[in-house]
Amino acid sequence: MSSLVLAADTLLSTPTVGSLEFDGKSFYSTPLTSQRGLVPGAQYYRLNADYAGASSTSAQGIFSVGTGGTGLAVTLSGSTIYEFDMYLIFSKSATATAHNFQIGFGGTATINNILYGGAVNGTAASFAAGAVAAAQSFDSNTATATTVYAAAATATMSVRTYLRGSVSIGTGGTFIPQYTTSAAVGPYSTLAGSFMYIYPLGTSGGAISVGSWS
Amino acid sequence: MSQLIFTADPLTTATAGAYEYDGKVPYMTAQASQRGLLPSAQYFRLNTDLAGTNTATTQNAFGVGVTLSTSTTYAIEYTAVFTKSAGTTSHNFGISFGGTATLNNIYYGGSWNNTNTAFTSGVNTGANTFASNVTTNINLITGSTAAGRFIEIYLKGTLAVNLGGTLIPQYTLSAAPGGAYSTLTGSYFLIYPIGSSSGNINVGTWA
Repeated sequence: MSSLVLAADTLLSTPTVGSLEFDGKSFYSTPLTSQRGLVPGAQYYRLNADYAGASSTSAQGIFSVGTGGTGLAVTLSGSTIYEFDMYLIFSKSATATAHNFQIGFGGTATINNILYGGAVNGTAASFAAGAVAAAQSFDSNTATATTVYAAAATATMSVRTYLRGSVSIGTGGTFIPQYTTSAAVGPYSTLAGSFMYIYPLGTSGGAISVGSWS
Repeated sequence: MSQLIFTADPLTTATAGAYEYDGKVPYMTAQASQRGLLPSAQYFRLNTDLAGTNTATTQNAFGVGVTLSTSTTYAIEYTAVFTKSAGTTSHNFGISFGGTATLNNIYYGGSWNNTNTAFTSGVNTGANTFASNVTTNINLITGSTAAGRFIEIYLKGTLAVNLGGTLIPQYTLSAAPGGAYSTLTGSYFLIYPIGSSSGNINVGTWA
C-alpha cells in the first residue's frame, strides 16, 4: 500500500490518542490525550537555480512568470485559511537608481484578511553569504505591494526577506507571490534555494483553534 | 494497530483525503488537487547544555550529525543559543555545516543577535540578519572580547544533497577565547525531506 485515502468527516467529538483525522479541510493527529494537532500538508516550491526577473515597474512573479504571465501561482480553496512561510533572497547587479523593493500577492483568489511579516534586510552589494547588521522588521495586512526595503542608488543590491503569515481566502483561486520595484532596475534575480510553502489551517470566518486552547 | 507501513509508489492524481508516500516524502491532500508534503522531521533537541571547547576550531554545535540520503532535497530549521562567561581573547564566531554528504546547493538564513553578557531571558535590541549559499563558515561576530557573550540564532533553509552522508551543524571560533561556549538546553535542529535534488521542488498546484 502506498496511499491511504480518508473520507472527510466531522472530527471526533473527543480527540482519541493515536488518531489520524480528516475533516475535508485539514488533517489532524492526536499524539497526546486531548491534544489534537494540525498536520501541515504543505504545497511547497523551492528554486533549484537562480530565476532572473524583468527590469520593470510591474508586479512580477518571485519564482517564475507562471502560467498567466504574472507569476508562479498556487491554487487555494474558497473559505479556507492558510498559513505560509517564505525565505527569499533577491539580488541585482545593474542600474544605479534608487527604488523601493516591494512584496505583495496577486492572483484570482479573494482575500478576507491577511497578515504577514518578519525580518528584512538589504545591502548595496550583490548577494554574498554572511551576516548583515541592522535588520528591520516588516509587517503587512494587505496583499497589495508594500515596501520592504528602500534601496539606494547603487547598481548592486541584495534584499533578504524572512516572512511568515496567514491568509483567509474568500473565493478560491490562485495566489501569486510577487515583487515590484518602484523604478525599472536590474533586473533582480530570485536566488536558488529560495522557497515558499503554504498549508490549510481550517475554515475562514473565525479564529483557528486546534487542540486544547481554552 | 500502532503503525502503518506504506510501500513507495509513484504519485498519481491528487485525491482529497489521501495520504501517500513516493519513497522520498509523505504527502497528504487536504483540498482537491492541493497535495501537500508532510514534514517528517529528523529532530534533535538538547536536554542539557552542551559544552564546547576553548579552542580555535570548528565545533559540533549539537554534538551530533544527521544522516541524509543521496539525490534528495531537505528543509532545515534550527534555533540555538550559544553562551560563554569567561575569556577575553578576541575571536570571531561563525556557523557552518560539515559532514560527509555532498551538496548540489544550499541556501539558509534568518536572524541573529548577541549581547556581551552570559545568557539571560528577555528582549534584546539590534537584531541582524544573515544568509548563506555555502556550507563553509560565515562569521556572525568578529572581534569579540567580552568575557560574557550569548548568541541567539534562528535559521531556516533548504539544501539539495548529491551523495548521501552526514550533515553536521557547526560553529567556528577563530581563536581560543579563554572560555568555551556552550550550546544551551532547548536548542534544537530539525530536517526533513521535501523531494529529489534534480530540479525545483514543486508540490501542489504551483503553476
